[in-house]
Amino acid sequence: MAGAIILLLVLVAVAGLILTDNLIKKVVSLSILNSALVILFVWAGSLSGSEAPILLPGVLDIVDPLPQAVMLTAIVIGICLTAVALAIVLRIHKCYGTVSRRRLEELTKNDDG
Amino acid sequence: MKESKIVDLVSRKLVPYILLFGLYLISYGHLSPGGGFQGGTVLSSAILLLCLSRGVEATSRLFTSRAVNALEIAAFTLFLAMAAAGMAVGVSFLGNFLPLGRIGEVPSAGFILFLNMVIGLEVGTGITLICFSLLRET
Amino acid sequence: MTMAETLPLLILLPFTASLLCLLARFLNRFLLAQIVTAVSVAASLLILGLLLPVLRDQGMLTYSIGGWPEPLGITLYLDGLAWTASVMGAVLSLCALLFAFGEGSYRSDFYFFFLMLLAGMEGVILTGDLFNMFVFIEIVSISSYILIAYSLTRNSLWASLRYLLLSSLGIAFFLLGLFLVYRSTGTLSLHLIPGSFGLGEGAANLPVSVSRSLGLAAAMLTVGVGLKAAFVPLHTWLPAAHAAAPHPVSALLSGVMIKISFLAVWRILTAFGSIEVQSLFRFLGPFTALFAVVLALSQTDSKRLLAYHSVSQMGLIAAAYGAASRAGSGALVASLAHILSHSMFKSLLFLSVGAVIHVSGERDLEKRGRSSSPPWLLIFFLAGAFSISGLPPFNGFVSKTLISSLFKTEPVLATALRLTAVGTAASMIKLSGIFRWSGKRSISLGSEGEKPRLSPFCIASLSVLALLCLAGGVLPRLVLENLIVPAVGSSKFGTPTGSLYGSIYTARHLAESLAYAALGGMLYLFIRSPFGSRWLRRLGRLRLSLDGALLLVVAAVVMFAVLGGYL
Repeated sequence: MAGAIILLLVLVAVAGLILTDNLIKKVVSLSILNSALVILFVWAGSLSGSEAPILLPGVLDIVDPLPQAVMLTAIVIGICLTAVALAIVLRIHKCYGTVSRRRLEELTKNDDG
Repeated sequence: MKESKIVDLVSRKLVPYILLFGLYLISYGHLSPGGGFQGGTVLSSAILLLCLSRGVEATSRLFTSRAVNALEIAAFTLFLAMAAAGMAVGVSFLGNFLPLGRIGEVPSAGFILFLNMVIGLEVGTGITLICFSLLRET
Repeated sequence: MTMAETLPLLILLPFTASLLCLLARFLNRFLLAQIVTAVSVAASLLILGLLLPVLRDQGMLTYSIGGWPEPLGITLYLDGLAWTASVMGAVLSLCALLFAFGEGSYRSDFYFFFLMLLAGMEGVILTGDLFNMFVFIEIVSISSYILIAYSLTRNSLWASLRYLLLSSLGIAFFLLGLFLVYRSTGTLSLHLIPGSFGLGEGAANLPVSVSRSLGLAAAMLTVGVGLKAAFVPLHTWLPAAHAAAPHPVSALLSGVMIKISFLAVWRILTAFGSIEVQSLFRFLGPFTALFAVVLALSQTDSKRLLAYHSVSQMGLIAAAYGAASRAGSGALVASLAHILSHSMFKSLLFLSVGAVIHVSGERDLEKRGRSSSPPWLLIFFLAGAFSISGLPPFNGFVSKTLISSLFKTEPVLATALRLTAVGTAASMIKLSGIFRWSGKRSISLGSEGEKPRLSPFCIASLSVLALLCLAGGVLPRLVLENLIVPAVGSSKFGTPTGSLYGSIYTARHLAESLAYAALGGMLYLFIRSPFGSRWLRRLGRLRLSLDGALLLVVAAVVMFAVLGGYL
């Protein structure tokens, strides 16, 4: 069940990345893709235990902590990526006046270099 | 951005508590859910709340760009210094060389608490700077 | 402090230097940033030099970060291959840095991102953990997005954004592959994967589902990293990005980053033992080379032409790597030789063309005018052009001969490589048009008075690269036997056996290379004719949309998975 939802999220994100015209929507799709991958890792890690991975007295059966630690780093990297992408999109809007992919490709058709 | 009195009032009252919560997340990161990065984003979300309700100009009079920048550089320096100190003391790069206390107490787990604080500052100031530059109206 | 402890220094030094650049930007002391960057690069070279005798003794150096041993922690590995790649990176970054000093229009934040790029690339080379590789790849990526967009012109922003979107999609596939690896083997460490299920003895004793998911993981990881190595169909970001970037950044990205990504693919495929994916490169390589050369011929912008050539030469490198799946590790020698040669001559080409653009202000090949570039710049350009065309006595001749001798038994692929050589020669002749003198007045070159002089830093950087290209060609045995063969041999690919290379400077090889150059000249005359130039113009106007490029990435994953036999 959870696997199906995650697969759906990934497909929605990739489809959004490829099919939408607005650049900001593409950046949002990237963010959704990142989140979907994070959920995938954490869910798969949670299948092998039952308690949160914090060693307090009486806690014995913890889930796998490695995917959670790994995904923390991945979330940070995703945020940096989104920030850089949005900054570039902002500047593109200032330069070209549009954030539509179709319009931008028309405008840059004859550009070189 | 049009000013709204309710948003302005509530956010001004809330910001100190959000900052406090962020500090709590950072310092209890090794004992309960939380940690450096998580607490840092909460810290920056407090400043972001102020930006959204009052505008970047007013907020940056309170949290000046220069101070935030200096704090970020200081946090980065401290992190590299801690990492390298492990090598100097003889343990290893990024090795844990502070005393490990008892499990469950705040000052335990060696230098993880310290690294959490440094990372929290770094992330908080970093995201604040990102928000300042993206939200400026000019 | 033992020598192994200098390994984290190789990554820590650029990070510390970048911190000092941040400080320099905060304090508005630009000179500090320049000095710090130069010191950091020089120190890395020094450390690598000191590590060489230790490496010769011990064969491989390892370092566990934090003191945590392998299954729990991250370990840095320095074997011969990593050492060679690091030295290549350090030398090229020194040359790119000198050129950047000479151009003089960069602020402290440029050097910050430059150092981050170096630190990230060093990390990709040294790390033995897949997730750590992901982190360093992202550091390299983000630094390069910003460096490409540094000049903030319209073109560079759009090129950088395209690169960002494509690269992020690829990295998402990398993470998916990582997920499959962790689920199947329980470890993320590259060196433990072969052992964890007895993959060494062949995957026969693995349950089918596990070997399938490991194979699928290998395909996804390859696409994820391979997107930065720019072979077809993952090459679409490169022409615009490397053309729009500042000149030292173009040189560094084309010269080092795409090679390092390909070396990461080597390591991954070796760890997984995926012979099927490796042999895919036997076909993908020559196809990439030929396809990119044809597109290169049709370009009118000088840097874009060079960028397409980067794709084409990466195709050659990939072809040699693919040939190793049949011919054994001797083919890897050819691939690594071409990696080293290409990094030298491609940086030389980018920097010399960059110098001309800097001095004359014109980068379009269609505009003929009185170019005000000093004629001796032509010498540097010719060194690079002869190298890339495979003419003696330069290093390109050596590595191209090695590669073409691998495909003697396959007529179709060999023909593709020969056509590539002809096309390369023709496009180099076309590119030299940027130096052309003609009697006409120049078209709007700006003010007549002040012409920017070429700084001695730029000249120094170009000279070093040209000398290295020459040295690689004149002393091939020195380079091959002391640098390349030990590198391949020490890194678990198996020691190359037999005589890998007969003599390189035989009459036959010399005649072949001259013949290709001559044919290239004829091809150039053909494309100057009205018939040829009309078709070329049509070709040059073909543009792939961003959505198409993204779709190609997804298609690449499917292709690798299906053709590798995993799906």
